[in-house]
This record gives sequence, structure tokens and C-alpha cells, in this order.
Amino acid sequence: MSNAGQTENATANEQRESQVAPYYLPVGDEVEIFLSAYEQRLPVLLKGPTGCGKTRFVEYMTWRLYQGDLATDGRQEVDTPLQTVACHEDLSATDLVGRFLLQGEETVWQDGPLSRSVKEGAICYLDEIVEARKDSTVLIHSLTDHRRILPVEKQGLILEAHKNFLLVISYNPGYQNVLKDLKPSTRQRFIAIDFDYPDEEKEAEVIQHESGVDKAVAKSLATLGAKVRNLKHHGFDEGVSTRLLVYAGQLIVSGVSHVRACDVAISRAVSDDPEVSKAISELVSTLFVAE
Amino acid sequence: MTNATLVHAALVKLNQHTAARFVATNEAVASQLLPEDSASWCDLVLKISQSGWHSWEVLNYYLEATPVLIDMGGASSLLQHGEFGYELLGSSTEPASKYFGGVAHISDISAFDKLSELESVGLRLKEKFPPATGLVASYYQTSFELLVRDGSHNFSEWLSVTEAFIDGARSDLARLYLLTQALDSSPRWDSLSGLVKFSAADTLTYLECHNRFCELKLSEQHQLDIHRLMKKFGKSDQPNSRWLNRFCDCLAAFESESIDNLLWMIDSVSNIDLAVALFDAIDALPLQRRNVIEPWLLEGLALFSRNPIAGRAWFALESASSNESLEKLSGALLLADNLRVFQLFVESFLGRRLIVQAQDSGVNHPYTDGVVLKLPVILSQFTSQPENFQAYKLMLLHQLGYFEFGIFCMTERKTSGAGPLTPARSVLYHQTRKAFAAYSNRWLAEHIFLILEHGRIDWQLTYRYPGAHLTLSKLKAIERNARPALTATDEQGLAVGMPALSATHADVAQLLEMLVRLTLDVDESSLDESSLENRRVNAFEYDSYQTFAKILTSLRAKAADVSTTLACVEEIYALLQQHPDCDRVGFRTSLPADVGFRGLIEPEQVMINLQLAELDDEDLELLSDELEDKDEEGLSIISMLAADDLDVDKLKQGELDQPGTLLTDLDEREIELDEENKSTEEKVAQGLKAALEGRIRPPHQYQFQYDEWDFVIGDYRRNWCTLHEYRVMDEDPAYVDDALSELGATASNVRRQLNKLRPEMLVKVKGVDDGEELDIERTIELLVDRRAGVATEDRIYVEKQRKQRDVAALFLLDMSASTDDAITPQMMGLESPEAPTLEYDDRDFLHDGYEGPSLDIIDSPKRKIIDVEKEAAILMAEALKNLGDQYAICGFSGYGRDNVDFYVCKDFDEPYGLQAKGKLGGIKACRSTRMGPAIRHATKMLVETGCKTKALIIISDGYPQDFDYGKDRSSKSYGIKDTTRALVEAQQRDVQGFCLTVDQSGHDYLREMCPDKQYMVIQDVDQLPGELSKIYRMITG
Repeated sequence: MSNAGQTENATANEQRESQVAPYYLPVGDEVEIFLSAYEQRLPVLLKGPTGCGKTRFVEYMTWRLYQGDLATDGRQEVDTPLQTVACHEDLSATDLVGRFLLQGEETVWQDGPLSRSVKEGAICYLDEIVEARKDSTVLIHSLTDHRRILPVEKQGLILEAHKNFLLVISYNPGYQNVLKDLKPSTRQRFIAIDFDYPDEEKEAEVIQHESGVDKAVAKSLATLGAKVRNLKHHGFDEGVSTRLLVYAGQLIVSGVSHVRACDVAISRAVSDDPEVSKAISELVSTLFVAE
Repeated sequence: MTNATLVHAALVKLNQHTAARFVATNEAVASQLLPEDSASWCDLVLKISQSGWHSWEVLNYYLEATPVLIDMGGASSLLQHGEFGYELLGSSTEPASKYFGGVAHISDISAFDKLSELESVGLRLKEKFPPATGLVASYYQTSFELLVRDGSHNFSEWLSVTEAFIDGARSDLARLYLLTQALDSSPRWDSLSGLVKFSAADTLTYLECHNRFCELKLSEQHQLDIHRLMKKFGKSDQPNSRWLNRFCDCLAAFESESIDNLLWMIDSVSNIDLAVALFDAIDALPLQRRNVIEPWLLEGLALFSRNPIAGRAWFALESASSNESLEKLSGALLLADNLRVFQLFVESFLGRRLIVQAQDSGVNHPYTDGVVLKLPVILSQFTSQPENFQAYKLMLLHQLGYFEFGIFCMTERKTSGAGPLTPARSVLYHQTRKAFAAYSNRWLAEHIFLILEHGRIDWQLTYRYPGAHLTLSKLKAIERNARPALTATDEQGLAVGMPALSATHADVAQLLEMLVRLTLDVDESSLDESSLENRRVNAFEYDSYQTFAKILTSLRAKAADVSTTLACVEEIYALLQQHPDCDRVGFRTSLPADVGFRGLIEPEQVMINLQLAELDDEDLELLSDELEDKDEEGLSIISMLAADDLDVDKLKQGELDQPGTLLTDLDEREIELDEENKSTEEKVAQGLKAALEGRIRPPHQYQFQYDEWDFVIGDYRRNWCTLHEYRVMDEDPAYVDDALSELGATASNVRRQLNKLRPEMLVKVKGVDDGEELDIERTIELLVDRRAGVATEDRIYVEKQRKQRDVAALFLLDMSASTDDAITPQMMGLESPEAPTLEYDDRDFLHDGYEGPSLDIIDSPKRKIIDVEKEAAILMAEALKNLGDQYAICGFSGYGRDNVDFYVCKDFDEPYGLQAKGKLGGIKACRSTRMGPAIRHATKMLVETGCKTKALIIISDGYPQDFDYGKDRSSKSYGIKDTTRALVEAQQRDVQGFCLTVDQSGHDYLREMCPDKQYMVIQDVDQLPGELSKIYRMITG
């Protein structure tokens, strides 16, 4: 049984419980665009490399819309305002919509994360949508045009989307091949917001906030990130993500030496090519003094 | 008896001048001669004067020599040597003239005493070569020159040498005299005389080098060592010139200790061939470290005794094991071993490709022109490899500093109007250039700037890259210690040791040197008042130095940028201006020695290259044409480059054709049009031409170094081959479509074959724990079982699993010259040319009513082997489009180990579009077939795809060969063994190789080359596409 969406929701729920907005540092006008899209209930496609903050952005927007400054009474009622599904190649329509389970001697219907969001009026976030099978992507078509409906074939039902429901999908154009591209019929149902790694200054701010390292180290980590990304054509299309830089920062905070922390979190993590790893290690040893 | 009057009368008829000279000489020596001696002398004079044509000339010399002869040996000597000279007169007066002329210049008695010896060797020479008067004359000229210059010391030894030569060839003797006359000082003839016994040619070779040895102040002991070695090698059948000339060429680079060790090594190898090999490796040998070279040498000698060829490769540092041994012993680091890491390092900084290359042999500093960044071939500055690696890295960092925060860094500037900010590289550079234009002596300002900027970049590096600080400090310390001592001044304040420079020039040179030291963090108090007292500096320099130190404080600051440097230049220039000459156009002085790790940068060349980098190929060609064809337009481009940054859009729109561009630019730059700047323009023009020549090809050409397996030495030859990867080449866009329309039937056959490989995208797997569907039968069974209260299997789901191919294939086409050959009937599986009809069997138009094709159809156009290779690749590419496998199509050829050409028509991640098709169509036969490096490169490309199945399919027409593929050109073994090894290496890296050949004798070598029979000899070339698809299925299925 697929449990997609369940674990992912844990983070969002914790944030909700703590009543603190997830940290997100806007890079451009993405916040305004998302809000406008939400107002019109226009499905949103987030494009960008791995670890650049797409998921965090959705969490942040969800918090603002459902718990934060923009929350309305209706929205505050929603138990799980963000249903995140990490798509994978075996993710089928059933996983999204729901399935019959045997319970004792009976069969019981269990909603999938998409049906749940549609019913409750939550934001459903399908992460890395192109990874999912084609049949599951076609499923969302009727939800993303004026109809805003979700047919539940197995139950013989058609669900009308709650007025607060919004579908957000993300994909990473970097490492997709021709076989795994998003079909135009799907792609053209979303407004697209481009994401990229922030500039060095902003990235340093993010690293500092997320990991707790001091400003100088955060800055050096951001410089390291920018330089490593210059090598992304050498076998690792994505460069190094902000997330990995944060991990490196967290290791540093926990007492690992700068060079070693970058070694395990970055040099070895981004590439298996020994020469690329060595070049990155050299970058690290240039930026940080070995202890 | 003849008296003087009679002689005079006779001489007057012959030559007035000689007659007068006789009278004068007679008067001068009369008192020293007895009457009978005087009469004999007069007789001799008369005899000489009557000896023949131009005898008066000889007489003049005899008269000149007369007082010397009387002084040194008295009357008897005068008559005796006079008679000797007279005897030399024969068909030519030259020997006698040189003899008497030489005697006339003798000034000391010890030299005079050598005269008899000299005469006796002369007599032997004359006897051996009676008609060779020129040679005899040369002998006397040379001998007397030596005798007069060097005195009697070492003279008898010279005579021994010449005597030894007399037994040899006449041409050797002539050369001996010619070379000896050209010597500035004499070698140790005693030592050389022993060498002549072995080889006259070797002696001459030594004499050719001797002047150079003296110029470079090679010690006498070293010279004697060389003589000894030459004698030692003299017994062998090889000339000493082979190593001596190499020794002479590289000598300038070495200190005395290194020369000691080098000569010791040559002595130890005891073989001219090995000595020459040592010179092949000379740049990489740490000659000053005997403790390193000794064990390396001994290991090499042991190897030599077992396998002479391997031993030679060892000493020439050609074999991998030799390199490894030396590197281990010395801690030296080869650039080639780390080239890719450095390349990546550079790219990570710049975000673009700046090609890291090896510096020219013997050059030990880095250099960049904006397209390439050159680093020394080897670094052995430190004793361990990690330290040397860091030193390399620092060299890179310093050069990169210019791009990151120096004059080439990206700055934001506004385009015209209120447009957005766009990054521009050239703004800072041109601001700097404009700043220089304000100085009368721009040369000086520019050089102060470069010195300071080098310093600032190093200081900035320590702020930005704390990890580099330690190595930088170490390198700075090394450089500080290596700086020449500050020049002392004499009473008048003139620099001692700088004789070529006037006081002002020396002062300024000294001040520039002080600036360099300050940038190397020299202790500011090092130049204290004692320096002033010791006259190491004059008062002006002392004051200036203190001021410099203060000025440079701002440059050391963290916030210092290019404008800070410019401000410092202004202050320092103002200070130097106190020397009135400094501020003059054309004032030049000697510049401080370069700082090794900082290397050289040519700002103008870098800027041109950076600007050109923004242009695409078409624009570059246009620019190149304009520069060649039309002077005026060329000049306008140069003006743009020189005056302002190159406007790419303008170039593209062809706006340069308007002469207005030139005029405007010139107006703006009127101030600069002095002599100085004309030369700048010329420099820019030259730079641009040079850059264009390089730019139109190389940026698309990457270099790779590969080892090569030498079965003779049983080792890899390290970095033996240089492979050039081309991604831009001649295109033939129509070829692919034409071929496809002709090969329609075969194409669909190939496609059908490959479609069999197409996986079912989804496979239903029943009986799993989790799945999107229930397996009805199992569910019912489960429910029944539960009802029955039995423990049951609850795997009741059906899952659809995706199966995907994870395959990368590289088709490697042989582009050797032989593939240009037309297809022969034999290659089509036919017995004779009389039955060629089968060639067209599957072509419809031949089936309809034709008995057979006409000769025209067969012959025109002739299909070549390369066409068949291309067709096979085209068909595969078409068929693979649907399959989803990653594939690349490449070709290879080349000439020699330094020029292995590798053409990438289609890379794995490149779409099979117009460009790839054009490149594939454009493949043509080139030169040789050096397969090893091509296979290694293809393997590397395949491994980089990260795919699970990696297939390398080589299509060739013969065995691997190249003019230097193995020492023995007639042997095929070297190439075959190297290719075999390359295929084994591929297999070790999980790359499945397969060789296809149309060479009917292919079985002979392919059996050896391809492990596990991974090869096929195609009997009929038309079967190639079909066979290829089957093979593809076999390898990747």
C-alpha cells in the first residue's frame, strides 16, 4: 500500500502546530504571483532544480493562506491544509484518488491525498510530477480547467472541488529526458513559476537561518555552492542544492570541521566522478582553512 | 754578397713602399748585425723579393718580423726563420705571409721558444698535404693567433691536437682551424688531445660548443668532465654530438650543482643513447636533488640491463613506472596527472571554459591569454606532492583573481538610456586603460599598475579564500628569498652592477624592485637606515621606500579594488616623477624579475579573447575576413577593440563598414595618438589576428592526454598521446537524407531488427504485497481462507512494473586515409569485377527490365569504404531514435601521437538533429588509424554516461597503424597490442567493445585484439548495416 503523502505531511503539520511560518526567503515575485493564482484558483507549476526551495515555498504559502496572515475562517478549519505527494514512477491514479481496502471481512474505501484535498479544500502538491505514470497525470486534467472535478472511477463518483482547493505541481526540467517530459496537454493547464538557486547573498542568508552557522561561514558555503554549480555539466546536472549547503552548515554547527562537513555533504554527495569530487574538495580547502 | 743599396735598387723596381720599408728596417737593425749577417740578410730579402708574384707582400711581413727575430734570437734566428719562411713560398704566398705576419706579433721569449715546434708541425702538414697552401696558411694563422693571445702555455698541447688531426681528413683540419679561430678563449688542449685519438669529429663538436660553455661560465672542472665523458663514449659507434649539443642547449637553465649531477648521471648511464634519453626528460628531472635522482637512476639501470628498450623509456621518462618512481621519490607533481581536476577547478571559478594547458617546455610560470591558462609541466618546488598540488592551485587562483576581482571581472553597466543593467567584462579594463592615457609615461604607469595589481590580487585571495593563505605565504617567502640583492650605489650615487643604466634608470629600476618586494610582504623595516649607510640604497630610494609602504596600506585592505590600485599608481607615479626623466615618453628601465607563481598576463590579449568569446563562429569568420581583406575596416575593428569594448551587435550588423566608426573613435582618442599608442594599436591588431587564428578552431577543440601501452617495454608510456576532440567540423547536411532515401529498404530492416529490443514498457507482476489492482483470484482465495480460519498468504495485489533500457552505445568510425578507397568487388563478396550486378540487388530500378547495370552506374560515383561506414551509422541512428537508447557517433583519425583527432558528430545528450546529421554527413577520410587513444577516449565518454550497459562499436577497414605507432615502423604488433590493451581497459570499465572490419585479412589481428571474439569481418560491405543491427542486439539486448 502506498503511503505517499502521509510522511510528507508530517513536516507541514508540525509547522502548523507550532504556529510558526516556515522560513522562506523570497527571491523574486513568486509570492505575489502565487497569491494571485490562488485567488483565481489557477493551478500552479513550480519549475526548478532540486533542493532550491520549491517544497518549502509551497509550505510557506500554505501556512500563510491557511494559518497565517491570509487565513480565512473556512481555511483555518482544514485539518491538513497541504497534501504533498512525492511522485514516483509507480505512482498510479489509484494512489492519488483512493482505493478499496479490506477491513475485517469488508472492503472499505480510503481516499487518496488528491481526493482528500479536493473534498476538504486543501492544497494538493504533486512533487516531481513527471516521475508519475502518464495515467495519473491525465487524471488531474479535469481538476485543472474550469470544471474543477475529480472522477472517482472505482466508486462511480464525480467529486467537485472545494472552493479552497488548489493543485500545485512541481517538476525539474534539469534531468528529465525526452521520455519523461511533461506532455503539453498537462503542462498547458498551469501557470509556471520558475525557481532557481538564490544568488550568493540570499543563499548565505538562507544557509545562516536554516543551519545556524555564522555569517562568514554561511557566505563561504554560498560561494562554494555558486562555484560548484559552475561544474554542473560534468556529470551532475543539478549542481549542488541549497539543501545540501544547509546540511553542510548543520554539520558544522554540530561540531564537524568545515572541510570534513563540506566533504561529506557536498564533495562526495554531488558526484561519483573522482576528479569532480577532487575538484570540489579543492574548492572547499580553498574556502576553508583545514583544522 | 749583396749590399743594401743594390737590394734597394731592386726593390724600387718592384714596389716603392716595400723599398722604403727595407731602408727603414735596415737602418734600424744595422747596428745589431755584423756586416756578414747583414749581407746574408740582404741576400735573403732579395731572394724573397724575387720569389714570384706578390712576393713584395711576403717581404713586407718579413721586414716587419725582422726586429722581433733579432730581439728574440739574434742574427742567426733572423736568417734561420727567414729561410724557413722563404721555403714556404711556393705556388702561393699566403703561408709565408701568415708565417712572417705571425712571427712579427710575438712579444715574449717563451712564445718565441715555441717557434721551432710550430715550424716542425707546419712542415709535417705541408708534407702531408703539399698542394694545400690555404690549409697551411690557416695553420700558421691559427697557431700564431693562439701563441700571441695565450702565450706559450697550453701551446704545445695545441700543436699535439693539430698534429693528431694531420693524420686524419683534410676537411677536419680545415674545420679545426676555422673553429679554433672563432674561440674567445682556448680550451684545455691537453685534455682534448686525448679525445682526438678517439674521434676527430667529437673534438670538433666540442669546439663548436666551447664558446657557449665559456659564455655560460661553465667551470674548467666541468669542461674537463665533459672531455672525460667524451673520451669514455668515444669508443662507441655513436657520435658524442648527440648528447653534447643537447647539453649545450639546456645548460643556461642550471646551477653548478645541477650540472654536477647531470654530468654524474651521464657518466653513470655510460651510454650515449641513454644520455640522450636523459635530455628528453631534462625538464622534469630534479637535478639539484641527488638523493632523488640517484635511486631513480639506479632503478633505471637495473631495468636497462634486463630490457634495454624499457630502460631507454625509463630514462626518457616515457614509461608510467618511471614517472611514478620519480614522482614518488621527489614529491614532484605532473600537470598532466591532474589536468582535469585543475580544469574543473578553473571552470568552477569562471563558469566558462578557460583551457588549462601545459606551459612550453622549460617555462616555469603560469600564463593566460583569456583562452588558455598555461601551467608548468611539472612542479617540484616543494618536496611533497600535496604541497606541489597546492602550489599549482595557487598559481591558478592568482590568474583567476584577475577574472574574479581584477580588471577582467564582470561589472554591471547600463546600456544606452534607461535600459537594464547588463554585465560587462570590459568596463573596468577600459577604465584602467583610460586612466593610463593620462600619464606622459604610460609605459611606467602600466608597469607600476601590474606590479601593484599582482600584489592586491594576492592580498584579496587571503581575504576571500582563507584556505589558500598558508600556501600563499610559503610561496611568497620562497619568492622573497629568491629576489636578487638590492644594488649598491657608489660614491656618485651610480648603481654598482647596473653599468648599462644611468643613475635615473637604475634608481627607478630599484624602486620598482622595492615595490615588488613590498607586494611579497617583505618586512617593511628591512630597509632601515643601515641600508642607507651601506649605500645599498640612496637617500631618494630610502625615502621613497618608506612612502611606498604607507601607500600600499590601502591596497592591502579588504575593500581594495581596481580603483584602489589606480589611486596607488597615481601616488607612486607622482613620487617617481621627481626624477625628471621618468615623466618622459619613451623612458624605459629594466623591469624587476617576474614572480614565479604570479606568472604573466597579457591584459590586451585577454581582453580581445574575452570579447571574441562573445561572438559566434560566423561572426568570427566575418571578422577574420575583414581583417585580412580590407585594411580600413580591419583598422576600425582594431580601434574599437583598442578604444572601447567590442560591440558584438555592431559587428553582427556589419556596421563596421561605415568609415564613421573609425573617425569617431579616432577623434575621441586623439590624445592617445602618440607614438606609444600607435604601438598599442599594432599590438592589438597583432593580438586580434593571433586570437582569431586560434579562436576559429580551438575553442571547440579540447585536448586529452592518454597513456599508450608499449608491449616492448611492458609498461604504459605515460601521457603519450594527445587527443584533440573536435565538435565543430565540416558539415554535409544533404548527405544523410540522400543516403536514407537510397537505403530505404535496409533502413526499415534495421529498424525492425532493433524494434525487437523495445521493451514492453509495463509488465504486470502478480502476487505482490502492494499494488494498484487486486488480483481477483487470489483475493477470493484469501477471503475463502479467512472464512475458513486458515493462516493465509496475503499477497493479493497486481503491480505494473516498468522495464527500461539503460543503454549507451558509441559508434566509432575509422576515418583513416584508406577508407577513401573505392569498394572493390571482393569487398562485396564477389569473385571478380565482371559480376558486379549484385551490388545493386536491392535497388528497385535495377530490377525492372535491366539485364545488369551499366558500367556508368557502377563507377559513378564510386562508393567508398567511408561511405559504407557512414551509411551504417546513419541507419543505426535512425533506428535508435525510437528505441530510447543513448548513443553517440564519433570518428577518429590523426597523424602521430600528438595529433590524434577525435570528431564527435553526435554526443549522447545531443539530439540527432540537423547539426548532428550534417556532421555525420561531413565525415571524410583523413590520415592514420591510431586506435588505442580513440578507444580510451570513447570509453571515457561511455563511462561518463553512467548507463548500465555500455557498448563501443568500432567500424574500421584495417589494422591500427600510424607512422609512430611503435618504434619499428614495419611492425604491426605495437598498434595491435596497444589496441588490445585499450579494449581490455574498456572491458574492465564495463564497456563492451566490438570491432567490425571490412578488411578481409581482419581475422589475423582481430582474433588477438578482441577478447572473447568480439569482432566480425564483414564479407560483403552491403551487409554491414544489417550485421551491425544484429550485433547491437547481441551486445545490448
